Amino acid sequence: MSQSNNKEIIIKGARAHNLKNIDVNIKRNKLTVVTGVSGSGKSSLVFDTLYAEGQRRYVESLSAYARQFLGKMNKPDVDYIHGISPSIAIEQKVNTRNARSTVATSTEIYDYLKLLFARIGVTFSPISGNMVKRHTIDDVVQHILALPENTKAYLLVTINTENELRKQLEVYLQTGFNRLFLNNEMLDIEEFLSNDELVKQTAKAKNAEPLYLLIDRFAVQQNDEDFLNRISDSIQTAFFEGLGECVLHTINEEGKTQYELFNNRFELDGQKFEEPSVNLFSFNNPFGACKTCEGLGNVIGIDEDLVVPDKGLSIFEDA
Amino acid sequence: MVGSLYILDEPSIGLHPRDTENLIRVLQKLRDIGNTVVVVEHDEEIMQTADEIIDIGPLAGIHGGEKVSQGNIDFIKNDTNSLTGMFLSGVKKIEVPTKRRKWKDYIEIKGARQHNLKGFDVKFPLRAFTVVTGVSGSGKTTLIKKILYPAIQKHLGNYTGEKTGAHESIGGDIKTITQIEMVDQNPIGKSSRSNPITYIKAYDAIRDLYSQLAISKARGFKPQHFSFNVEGGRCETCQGEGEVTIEMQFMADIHLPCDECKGARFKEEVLDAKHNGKSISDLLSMSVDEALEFFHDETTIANKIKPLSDVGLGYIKLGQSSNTLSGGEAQRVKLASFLGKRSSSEHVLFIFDEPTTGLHFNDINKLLTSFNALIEQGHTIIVIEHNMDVAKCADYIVDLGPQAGDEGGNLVFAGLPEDLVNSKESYTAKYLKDKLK
Repeated sequence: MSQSNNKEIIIKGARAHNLKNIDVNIKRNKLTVVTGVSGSGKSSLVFDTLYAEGQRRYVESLSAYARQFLGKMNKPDVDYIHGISPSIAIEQKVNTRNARSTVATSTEIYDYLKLLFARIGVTFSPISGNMVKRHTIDDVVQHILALPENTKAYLLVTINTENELRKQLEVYLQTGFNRLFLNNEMLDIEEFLSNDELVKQTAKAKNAEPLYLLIDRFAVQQNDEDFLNRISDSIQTAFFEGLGECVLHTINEEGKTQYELFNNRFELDGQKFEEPSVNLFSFNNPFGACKTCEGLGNVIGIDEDLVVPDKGLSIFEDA
Repeated sequence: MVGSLYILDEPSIGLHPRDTENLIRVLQKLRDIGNTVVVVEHDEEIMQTADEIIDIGPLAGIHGGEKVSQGNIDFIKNDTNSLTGMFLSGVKKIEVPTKRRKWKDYIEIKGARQHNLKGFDVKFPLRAFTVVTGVSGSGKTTLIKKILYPAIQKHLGNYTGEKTGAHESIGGDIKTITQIEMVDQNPIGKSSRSNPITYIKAYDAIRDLYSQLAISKARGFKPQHFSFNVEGGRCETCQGEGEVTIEMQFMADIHLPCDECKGARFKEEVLDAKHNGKSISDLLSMSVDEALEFFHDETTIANKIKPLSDVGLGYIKLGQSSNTLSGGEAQRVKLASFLGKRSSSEHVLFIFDEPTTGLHFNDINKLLTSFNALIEQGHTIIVIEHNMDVAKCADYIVDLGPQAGDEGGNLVFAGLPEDLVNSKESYTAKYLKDKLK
């Protein structure tokens, strides 16, 4: 296909269906109307020849493997077509009588809408009304830096006391952790383990003050690169040890203590939330669709008109 | 995207002339940004704005398939070879009927308020030709397909599976209707085994005729031997298709003429049975007009085939498989099948949703003739249509609107086309006026 003399699409010897070996030139970049009586061969020329060739040339460029998945295109019965460009056919037929097909799905706007809603979507906890967020290390760092200078802070991880506590603590000891945090006090793991009574008591006690593993303790320092690196490291360790959860215990100047819970699991108020996803905003996906109507908006019921064809009659009168 | 070839198949379908103007702007914009736009179209307005018109024809089927004319609108208008040009220049035209039918029976829908309909009452005359018009989205289809059609279906005791649209009551002379038919342009059968002659039920009579021949009696051929759909007389290699399809995996299927029967679809011994020198296979390859002449003496068969010729399908072959018929042709085969029934006791209410889709001016003329023939037989025709050439021929026009959606759904006008023209509110009036001059 040379582009230089390409002012026209040249169809030579079209013979599809009833076409009588005709030659047609169609001017490029012009609006051309093809007309004729019904059955005269308009569609044979335009769809079965021109469009078929445009499509076929595209499909032929794909591998034989890919082609078997595509609809088969018949090779048009024509000598040659010159100067054809990629063709787009728009037919008016309403082929989809599907309730799941909407203006937005067929214009493909829906795909973008789903993505937009999924990305800008913010989840709020119905319990506290606060925004649910997946905490990142940076979130915790920012929180710490927002505290006043020299605030004492402990970075903690809750220890699950239901399993074999002793074994767990020994593992912590081997990994290099030395301290525990219980009832607002620090204590050595070794010391804790040597007190058999205390270990048993803590393991049994439910709903009591939780036992924490101390990851790091520090006084807040603004504008200190080293401090920043150190807490970032510690937070990462804390998230790892706490399976995505950590606690920041702070003591302010007046000696008041405060616990702040962070997690990277999209939880708040003890409730796990569904993160907004593309599927959640599709009525064609079980994730997002209404469970009752399966995303169709209406359910199949009984037509009252059919049950009672003549509303003027009572049931006794054979309605 | 620039430099593409856009191919549109009758984009004006379903559009009121007012909406067509918007469409034309879109098409021109596509062209102006550097695309090639090719439109298959019968709409006069779109032809007016085209840079070039290609007229294919001159007639349909075997009488078509040639390039008749090519040029801009002025060239086409002056080309006496071009049927399209003749209509465009007004040398040929669809005549406005000289008188409108009088009617006294009617169906009345009261308080139609499904979707955007605003709860109006409307009458549809019986045994007459009614056209329902209005801009796209004005509620035409809702009124006819969601209320009128299901309501009458229910009245006839048929189950439609769809809820009838909201309305207060349907009354009038509804009892006189014995059947309701929605005729669309859907193919009459996707199967390659269905063809016009089987569809209008004339094939049974032809098979009977062939089985009565002396040679058939001698060989014991029954009517079923002359069917290509059941075992017995048909060629078994191609199972009566006349061609064999070879699957080529990822390449397009290949259709080859059957090498056993050479495309004749029947066994050789069956083909020996000849009526006036023509075998059953020869008959299937005859055109309707040829067959009419051939069955000149067999009035039963001739009467059954005649409607096909009446609706302007004289050129199609009796055995042409239905899936090769165009939408307009399929629609007319359906009409012919009703015309062929000719029973005076029946009163069928026909509903057409845009029957002129895909029809050339010349075809519309034929369609209107078929409509008239049906009404003469005592049937009723209700048509949803935007084509003003059809609207001007109506006995009664129902115009909905004035606008689309919430601003539509009102009954703007109901009555004679001549009176609609004077309506100030109706968009249809403006376009109809030109046609009634």
